[in-house]
Amino acid sequence: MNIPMKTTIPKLLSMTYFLLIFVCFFNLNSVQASGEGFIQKEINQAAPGEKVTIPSGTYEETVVIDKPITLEGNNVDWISEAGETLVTIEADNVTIQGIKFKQGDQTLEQEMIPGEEFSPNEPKPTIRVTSSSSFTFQDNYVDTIGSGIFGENNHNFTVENNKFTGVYSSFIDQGLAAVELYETDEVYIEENLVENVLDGFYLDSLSHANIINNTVKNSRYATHLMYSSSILGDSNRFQDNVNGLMIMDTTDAVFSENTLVDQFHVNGYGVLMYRSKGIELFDNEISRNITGIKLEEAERVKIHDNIVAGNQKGIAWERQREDFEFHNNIMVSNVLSTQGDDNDEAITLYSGKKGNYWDDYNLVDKDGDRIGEKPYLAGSIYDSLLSAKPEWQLFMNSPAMTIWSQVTEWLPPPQDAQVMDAYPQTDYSIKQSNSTFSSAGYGWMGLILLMTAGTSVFYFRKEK
Amino acid sequence: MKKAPIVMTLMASVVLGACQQASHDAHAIDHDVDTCEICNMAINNRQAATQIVMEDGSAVKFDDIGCMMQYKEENKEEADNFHTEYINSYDEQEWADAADSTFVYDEDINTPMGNGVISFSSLEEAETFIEEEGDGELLEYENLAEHDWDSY
Repeated sequence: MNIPMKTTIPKLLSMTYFLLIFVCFFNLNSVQASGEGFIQKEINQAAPGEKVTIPSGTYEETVVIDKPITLEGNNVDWISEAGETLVTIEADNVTIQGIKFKQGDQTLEQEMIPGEEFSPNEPKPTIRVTSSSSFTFQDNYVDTIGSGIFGENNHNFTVENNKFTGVYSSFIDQGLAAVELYETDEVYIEENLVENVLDGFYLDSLSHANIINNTVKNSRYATHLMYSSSILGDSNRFQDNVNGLMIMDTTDAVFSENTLVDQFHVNGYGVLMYRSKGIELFDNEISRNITGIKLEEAERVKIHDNIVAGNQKGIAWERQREDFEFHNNIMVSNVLSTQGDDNDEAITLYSGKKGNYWDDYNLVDKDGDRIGEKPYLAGSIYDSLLSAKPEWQLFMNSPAMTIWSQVTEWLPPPQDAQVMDAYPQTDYSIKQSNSTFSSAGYGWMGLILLMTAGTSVFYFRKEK
Repeated sequence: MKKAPIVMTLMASVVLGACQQASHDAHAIDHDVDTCEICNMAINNRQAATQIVMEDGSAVKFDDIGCMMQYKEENKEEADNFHTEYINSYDEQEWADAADSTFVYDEDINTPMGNGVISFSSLEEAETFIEEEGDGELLEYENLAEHDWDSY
């Protein structure tokens, strides 16, 4: 074979040159998992309270932080190739910020077999924090298969402005929780974006947790509270999950100004309270869910000033207990406004002399006090039928059912006990950034415009 | 007369169909759809799942033995309707008749509703578990009704 030496040698040289550049670049930007890695060495060398800045690059190693430091990334991709926990924190005053935690392809193949189940602690969390005080996790990106952050027995725990993403589209095959916490107090979960995980925030046995301004989408439960107390949830958006808020065995929680929409899973709830006490929901939008609000064995519950609209069921209850306050809510465009257990005589859908607006209340307000003269009766004949036989929803809005429901509203059948709103509002107002504008206001405005138009037409025709 | 065999076949199908016994086997859990009858949680943890298969073959499903016990307590008047109570044994992870199983309770055992009770296919398996874990209380099926089902 005749090889032209003049052209081949420069080619070989240039190839070697590029190969060397590539290898150098790769070595500079990647630290392998074997042995003590680059980041662990940096942590070991850092003095307590120091900031460790990881240079730009891709890293594959696991580290243990056992001293108070700030670990900061500058365009850092930190990859878990074998599904292991990347960072274990065993110290107080630790901050992690600006890092992208990712799962490698190998992890996906090992851990995520579609249709297979895994026990609650497998696969492993990306970050594990145990018995730590003042932990902060901010401005990070976590691509998670197991939980993003798993924490136990911590105090003063902040998760702020991060993005957590699961892997699969069907929730059972996804990661666990973006944030999974047990027995931790003083928790701040703020301004995070969570998608495609099992639970956005799984909070078990917590006290004093603040869940503020987060968005959780396409997950099972956006926020799942169990055995927790003193919880504040404000201005969160929980959309397209199975449940927005799952409040179980929890005491003293307040949720306000949250948007809980589009929970359209077959068992979807905007809010589900189970065996909880002292829960208050106000100023929330709870719209387009299968069930807007569901109560089961909940005590001391206050639900007021919410918009509950476009759900298949507005509010439903089962084995509900006393001390229930429900007033100033706007119940509109729900297929069923209410659906309750027949045995729940303790429920009243008003508090004091304050009722709610029900768009299926068709009676008039004769004295102009914006309160209907007759009570709103929950649980129409149709509701009762649906409780027993859900398939009867096929007859919804059929002429027979409409006439039947209307007749029972005018001439209610005698019953031993009736769940009702004694002060149904015939008008409602929606808060709009520090000002209120009522539906009557819109009506008046429309009338004025109509009169102006009419007068103008009349005037110009007369001129002609 | 030519239609007679068809009519006979149809009648036989109807009679046989009417005589068909309802199956009382355990129903499969569909994680995407099935939720606990009591607490409404999705049934994701197979080891803790239970169900009661009714006389008519239908099933009521639960995510935790504690929820099944609460259902039984609240529906005592329908007890004649309960055909078989199935639990998922912790050791074999297969459906088993609760009446033939042994149970272990410990407040540190993690179950979906925190009741801390899991089931085993045999007394030996349950005792081995307690030995390995160093803690736990043995319960027989008959003891379940009197057990304090507080969550932990």
